[in-house]
Amino acid sequence: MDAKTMIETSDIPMYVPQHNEVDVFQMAFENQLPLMLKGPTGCGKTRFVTHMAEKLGRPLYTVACHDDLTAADLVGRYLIEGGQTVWRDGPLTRAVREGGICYLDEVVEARKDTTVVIHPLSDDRRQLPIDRTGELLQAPDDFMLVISYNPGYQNLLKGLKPSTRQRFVSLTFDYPKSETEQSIISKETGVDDFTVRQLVDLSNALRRLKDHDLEESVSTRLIVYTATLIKAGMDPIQACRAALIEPLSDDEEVVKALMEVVVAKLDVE
Amino acid sequence: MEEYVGQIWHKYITKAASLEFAEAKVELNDIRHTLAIQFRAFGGDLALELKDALNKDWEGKRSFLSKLASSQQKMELASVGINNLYLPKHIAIFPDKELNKKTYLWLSALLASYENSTGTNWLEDNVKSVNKTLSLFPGLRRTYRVLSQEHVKLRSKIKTLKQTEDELIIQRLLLSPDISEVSDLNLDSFNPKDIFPVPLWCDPFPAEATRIEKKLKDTQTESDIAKHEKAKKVDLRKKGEHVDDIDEKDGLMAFRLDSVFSWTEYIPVDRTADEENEDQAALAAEDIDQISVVRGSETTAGKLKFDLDLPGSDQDDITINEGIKLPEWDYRKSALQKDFCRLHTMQPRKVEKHEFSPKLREKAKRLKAQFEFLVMQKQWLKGQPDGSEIDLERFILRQADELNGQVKQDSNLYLELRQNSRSLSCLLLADLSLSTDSYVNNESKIIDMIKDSLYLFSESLSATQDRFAIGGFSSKRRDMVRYYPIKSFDEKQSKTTLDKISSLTPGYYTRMGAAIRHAANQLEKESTETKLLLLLSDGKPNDIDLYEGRYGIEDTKHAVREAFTKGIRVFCVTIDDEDNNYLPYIFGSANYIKIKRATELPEKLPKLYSLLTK
Repeated sequence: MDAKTMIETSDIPMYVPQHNEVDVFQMAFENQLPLMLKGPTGCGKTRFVTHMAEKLGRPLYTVACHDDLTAADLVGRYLIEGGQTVWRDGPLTRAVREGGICYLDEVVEARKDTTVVIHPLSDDRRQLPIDRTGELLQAPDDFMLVISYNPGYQNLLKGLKPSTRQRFVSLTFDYPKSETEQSIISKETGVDDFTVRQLVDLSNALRRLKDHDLEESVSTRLIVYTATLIKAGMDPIQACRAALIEPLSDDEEVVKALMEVVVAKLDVE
Repeated sequence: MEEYVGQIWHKYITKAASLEFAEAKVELNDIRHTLAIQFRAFGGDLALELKDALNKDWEGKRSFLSKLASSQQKMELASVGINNLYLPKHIAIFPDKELNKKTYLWLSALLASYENSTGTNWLEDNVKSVNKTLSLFPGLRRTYRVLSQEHVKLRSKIKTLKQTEDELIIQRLLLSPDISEVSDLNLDSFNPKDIFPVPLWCDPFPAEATRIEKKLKDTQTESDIAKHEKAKKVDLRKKGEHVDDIDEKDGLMAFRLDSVFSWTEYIPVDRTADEENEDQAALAAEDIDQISVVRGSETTAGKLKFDLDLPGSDQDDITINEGIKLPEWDYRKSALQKDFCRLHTMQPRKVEKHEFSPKLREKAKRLKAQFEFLVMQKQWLKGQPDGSEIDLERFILRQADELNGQVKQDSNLYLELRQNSRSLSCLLLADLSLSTDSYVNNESKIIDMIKDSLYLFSESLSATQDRFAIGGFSSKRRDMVRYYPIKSFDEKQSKTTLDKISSLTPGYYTRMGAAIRHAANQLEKESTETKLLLLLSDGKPNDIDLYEGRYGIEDTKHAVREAFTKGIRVFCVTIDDEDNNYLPYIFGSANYIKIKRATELPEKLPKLYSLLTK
């Protein structure tokens, strides 16, 4: 798949494939298999799903999961309206009824009971039982369940249950290779090649500090932010401080130390 | 009076002879942490620790004044080895403080890309890495230009520094590092010893290499350790000559065995006899601050063995089970050596009845109550968007609102019974090596703090539903890793557990990797959803064989990673107050905590546990 032609021929959101993920997604969709995307924050998981939904021409229901997200938020609930009770479909139910893609972002953040409602949907039954209405929905062939998950989060009690994990075809994402990332940044922002190369080099150097001095790596998203600020006319060093270094650490000493490295990389005469 | 004048003269003349600008001095200690981060961000090896460079006597050119002052020209230069990275303890080569600070930044960038693997030519190595650094970090070009120009200016001002051809080459290369010029030079006649030190470049005699050389070749060059600069002005060579080789008939040697990192006494251990390869001895040698050299020891057979301090087998703790074989990671081979360690499960010979102090018991009681409160089993949550019961109160309120014509609708009309139960197993693994025998204050030792912590921890956790076990470990080489199963997962918290805790005695060394592997194997058998290994330690992994420095650190890191793949989280609580850069390397930055005052450990540990598992 040639990334270039994709962008130019349509208004599908830009996505530069890192590996065979486009094929895997397509195959999974065609064969009614659920998919799990693993990878660090800001490496392009959500963009990838948006891109694929456009490409396959299916409506996309994205749910950003949080720790108060209940099964009812996904399936739907009765609401009382004007003295009467009315059933409202949740995003998952809507996707099943219409045959769309339901994307549960950061699924581990959701309450444990929510993972249970997706179990019957993610095996060969492909069913969504709605207890409250007594319905049993059979998912059409063009329904697809996609979940994403960041294995790096360091919470001792939050992890994906093996019983959930094993129901999904899985793809691992990482930050793109240097050249790929450079092309992404320049296409997204239009900043000159030299600055892009310096930014990506710098980010790769900072990524090595993960687990050592930093808890998180520089995401592609942060590089895009930085480049956007530079393109908009901000001084590159200041842009790096605002969008690259400050978001990574609250430790003043670390920020100060890294800013000197940024200057060493970018302060070109 | 004579003495007084003498002192003043000495001070004056050393100051005059010194080429440093004391008023613009920048201390490494003030910016050590920053530089370590920068070194890594510039691309330096993550495993290296930042250490002070050796303050060695410059063997090359000296000025007339310095000869007059008869002080030797001290010069600390930066270098990088396979274990550590060395930066000068302070930099005062420029009259401007800002420039001295920049010099540190420059050196950390230079060292990050310095490769002396070629080992052939110091000049070429330096010029190459200067070029590499400048092309990788173009922002440093201006900095380097200023630094080199200023430095060359200063060099040409030093009166005694004759502008020889070699010196001119150095100055030219400083100003414009041109690799083609280096290759044109006839380098045979070029001896770095004759060159006045170049503080902007790496040391032509890197700290680690020199030390290994000293150890192996039995050379007689002098060495002076930065730390002891003032304390001991003993010429190492003399020291070496005065120490006779130990005669095995001489009897008792009373020295602490677990302290090779902090002490620099002459310890007559023949490291070449520990393991087969000679280079392993060299590696071990690098981790000691000072190496004393003995000449004329003929055979290894007559040497003193460390085992002298061991209790007889009838005094030693009881071995319950010997021979659990465990692998060990060798980073140099990048291979897991199968069945490399033998782990013995032990139990104290005498389990004495012991009461913890009333104060501590009071604390335990309080913590227990707090933990009991934390695990209130179930609770009804009101006003939920979904739930098994209708929240009547809310429903009525809402109906009333509606009748009153209020438009805003409350949709949280349910009650939900939420379970607070969780499925968690935790193994607390305590370091029982001899280093824990040292005192933290006038009353107590580290081991007492560890015992108190184990006591409070076990009492607190017994109030929860979490499954927990406690173990302790020490080691004496790879064939005797000692593991004390103080409480197993299935055992109930009882008086016996507490007696066992109080009967623990410290001894031997810290082969952390093997202990972690064993503990992880125990945890793996647990069927709970979350598995946590809490490691309680007071220092680096080390043992008396090659398990030191980088080897130990890499093995431990690997053991932690193995545990992770088994679904076990490892978290380290340490009371090592030294600058421990190795911790994030082994455990990851979010997986360890340093307790500054060891006396706080007992109370902090249970709290930490509840935070971690919240």
